[in-house]
Amino acid sequence: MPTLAPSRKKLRVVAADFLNSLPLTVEMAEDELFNFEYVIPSEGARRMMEQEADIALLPVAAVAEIGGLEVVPGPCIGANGRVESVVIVSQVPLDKVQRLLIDNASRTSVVLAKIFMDSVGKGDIPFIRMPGQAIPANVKGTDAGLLIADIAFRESKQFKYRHDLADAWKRLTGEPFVFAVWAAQPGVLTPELVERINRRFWDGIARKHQIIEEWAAKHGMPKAEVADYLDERIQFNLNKSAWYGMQEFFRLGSNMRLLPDARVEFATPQEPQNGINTFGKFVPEVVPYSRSYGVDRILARADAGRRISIHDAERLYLEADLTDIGEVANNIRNRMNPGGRVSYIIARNINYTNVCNVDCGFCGFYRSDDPKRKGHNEGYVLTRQQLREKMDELADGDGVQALVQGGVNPNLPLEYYTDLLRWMKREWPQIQQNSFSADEVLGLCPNTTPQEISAVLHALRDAGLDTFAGAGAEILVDKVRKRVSYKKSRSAVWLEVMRQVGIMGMKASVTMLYGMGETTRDKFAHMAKIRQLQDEVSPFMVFITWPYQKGPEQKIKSFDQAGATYLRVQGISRIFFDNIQHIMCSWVTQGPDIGQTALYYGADDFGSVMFEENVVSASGTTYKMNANSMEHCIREAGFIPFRRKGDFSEWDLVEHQMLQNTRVL
Amino acid sequence: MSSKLLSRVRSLLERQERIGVDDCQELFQVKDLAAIATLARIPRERRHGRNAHYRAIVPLTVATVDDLAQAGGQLEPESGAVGIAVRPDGQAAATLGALMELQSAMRLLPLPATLFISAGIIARAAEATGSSIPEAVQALAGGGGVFINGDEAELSDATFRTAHTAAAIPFPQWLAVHRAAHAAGLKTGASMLYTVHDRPAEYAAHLQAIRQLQDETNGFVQFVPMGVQNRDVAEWYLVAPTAAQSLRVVAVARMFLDSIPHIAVAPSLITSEESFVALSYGANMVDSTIAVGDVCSDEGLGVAAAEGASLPVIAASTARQRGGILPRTIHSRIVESRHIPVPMDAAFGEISSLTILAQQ
Ligand code: SF4
Repeated sequence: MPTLAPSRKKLRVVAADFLNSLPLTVEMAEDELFNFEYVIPSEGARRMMEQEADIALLPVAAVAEIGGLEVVPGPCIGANGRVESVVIVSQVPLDKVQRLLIDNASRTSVVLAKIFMDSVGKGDIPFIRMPGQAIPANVKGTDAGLLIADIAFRESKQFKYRHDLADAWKRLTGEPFVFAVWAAQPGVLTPELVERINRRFWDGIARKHQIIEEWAAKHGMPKAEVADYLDERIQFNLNKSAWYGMQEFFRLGSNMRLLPDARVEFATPQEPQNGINTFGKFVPEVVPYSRSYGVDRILARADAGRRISIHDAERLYLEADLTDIGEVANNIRNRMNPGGRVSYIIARNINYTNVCNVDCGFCGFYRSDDPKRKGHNEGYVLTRQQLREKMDELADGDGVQALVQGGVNPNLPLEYYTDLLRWMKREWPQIQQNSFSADEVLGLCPNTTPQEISAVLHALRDAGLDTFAGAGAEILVDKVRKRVSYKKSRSAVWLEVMRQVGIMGMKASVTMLYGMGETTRDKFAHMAKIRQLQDEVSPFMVFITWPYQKGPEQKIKSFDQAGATYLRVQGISRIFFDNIQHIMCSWVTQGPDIGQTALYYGADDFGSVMFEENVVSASGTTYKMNANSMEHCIREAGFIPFRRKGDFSEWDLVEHQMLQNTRVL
Repeated sequence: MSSKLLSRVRSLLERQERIGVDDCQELFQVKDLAAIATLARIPRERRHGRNAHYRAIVPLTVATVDDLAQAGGQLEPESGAVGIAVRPDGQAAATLGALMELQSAMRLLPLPATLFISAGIIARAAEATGSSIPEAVQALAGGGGVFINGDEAELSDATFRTAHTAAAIPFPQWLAVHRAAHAAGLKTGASMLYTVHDRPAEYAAHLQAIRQLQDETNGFVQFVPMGVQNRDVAEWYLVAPTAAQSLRVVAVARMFLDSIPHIAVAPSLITSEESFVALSYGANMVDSTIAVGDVCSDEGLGVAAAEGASLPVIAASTARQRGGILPRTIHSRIVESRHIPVPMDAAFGEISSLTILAQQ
């Protein structure tokens, strides 16, 4: 009998219910050993990433992104030549194509498309994200489109030029392309379990005729077309050449900085003779770099510009020497922000209201508007006069940025915010607005649809919002969010706000508040979600992290409080975020000493001088620095300080004064 | 210059050969802290692996023998401390007789106690009593339970001492006390003052003097760098070396002082969090027995003002810096910094972690 995880009765197995996955899943779904669920591929990847599933039929890009997973030998979803479900279409020949429209729903296909475009000399054209259904209608002129799954089947024939990506891959590498494999959390697979999954697969293959019949009937497709797809287009056998194909995909993806390092290794040194399993099938295994090598190898590869996986990041967090992390983070920082310069900004927090109905368990700042709740009479909304005093003080100190942020106050309508922004822009034109959190925006979006979020963000930007502060990410893993802040936006909704920010071309900062009892995996799942969104729509210009510090009023216990842990997390973030340009240190929470040391751990920005801060200081942290002390700290660490604006460009006194003079009285 | 220096120092460290004074002076000017840290880890890990030591000792500053009895009665057994560091002040430190009386009274305390004194206290007490330094040291050694810490080493440079640490004994006298102590079989500590303005030549000369005495006597068991700073005012404004300077001093000390077993950092001097970071920069010991506010602020202010610096003004919450650190916090912070906690008694003898944790 297969060995089961001791703490649970059934192994949690997830897969997508696509036509090509049914031969692998139809029998698994009926096996009482498994708690089986059909989910969309991104949800399957999320569950594996957040360790909420034990086994998943996982797209290979997600296998690399997560890292550390074990792959079941035997079955796969691949194609040895034309597949017809992943196609680039255009009305002009490839050499005339200027942009590629993509649907980010399939990361594997997008990476494959990038590899293909690169191979035909079109690697530098922009990839434009849009919903899959909208792509066919927008493929015109010099725009090409990546069509996936049923959209590819239905729509590709109308285009003059079609490039089947599996076929292109076969011609490029001579190997089949593998789209998905059964992947398991480390330690889950036993020989018996592998055998069982393989048996279920062969039983599923035996039911192929039934699958074809049912699918054709359900989707109104000709049976012959469905049969042709399953019989002729899809390769279900993870044979030796399919493994080589997958290895080549990992290698090219990693070389192009699209995927973390992962590679295929064989279970035994002499293959294939000793690599034969009980079914007479070839038995290799995927070994991510991080498992087959020490952390020094992960660091060396990262230093050479390779992307690291979630599993790699976890290993660095748990095993690597602090200063080794610092050295690589510093090298990467020097590559991404050369010149040994460290920026800082003169900005101030303006906490316009502390009234909030979100009730985060880690927040000591807010007051409820519920009269039954303790402290509700301490709620405030700053008057214009109070705001004026704060803004004048900022302007007098040559400040360039206001961070207007508050609770999610149910009594303030959108007009309050737009009026406020317009007034501030009119009165202090030299001061940029880097304001509001995702939850403040969501407080103005009762239905939380992407369209509604986008409309609110556009209204704020039109009224004067320059950049989006984007606070409130905390840890983007729902089991953590539910525990520490039940009413706060779930991670997908928070990410949707940021997606809309990216789509409209606005820039934001992104944060991580750790130390609330989350796991190591949760920390890096958080980072992975941010990195993925940044790959999609690039909303983020800077990442900042700090530990939650428990004050007298907070209910949530604090963990991971050491300054050394802060440096470790920040250093790994610099290594992890190969696509976010700036890392800001959090001297406000860590103090000037750790803040300065953080400059050796990837930070190229020292943040802001502090006029006033009410949120972390509600937990008892009250460090203060002025511009002189900041510059001293930066210089002493061997860097060159410079004062910046909200968009990270260098501050210029003349420009500042000119802007100041445009004030409308 | 820097890369040649770094590769020369690396090869010396790898061959377990000594770094010269000139190299030491240059190392104090290297801004690339990551490179310095990598070098410092060579001798640190050779000597201590990933071990990080701490002494779970409660400091008691007493002015009279009566103070001692009173303070001893207030000790909380659940603090996790395994010993008491008795630090005499005023009358209790004035004469050799007073010090020896304190030594006798210490035996009545509920935990093993050690008399923590500086070379300056011994020299002044000897003078007040009309004894020579070797006689005074011998007498104290005979009383048992004495540890001569590195206080009043300051910087060996005579000009610096005259300008900024005039109250301390002359450096040759400091060396003489430690030499006598080592001859009497006592293990002692060494220290060095460093300031907001780097003084590479003075630092190198100071470390050289300490290393020379160690070569002669092998009696130093610990070296603690001490940044000049002010922390003993209600809302303190700090004129102090930055963390980068502190970590550099720690790292260079580890490389240069090849014959001193422990390089320690004092949480009260470089902030508690930074001291655990220093474990990755050459330090192997977090020594929490040095009381807050030991090193007077006026010196630092004087130095900075004398050199016409624009003073960095940094205010911080006092909560994290004051009130000492509990052994269990030290223990967990060491674990969090990916080192192995090794508690010690006052005499630098390793004790089981369980002894500490069981008491909390
Ligand atoms: S963290 Fe923000 S959303 Fe949560 S309770 Fe505090 S003010 Fe409200």
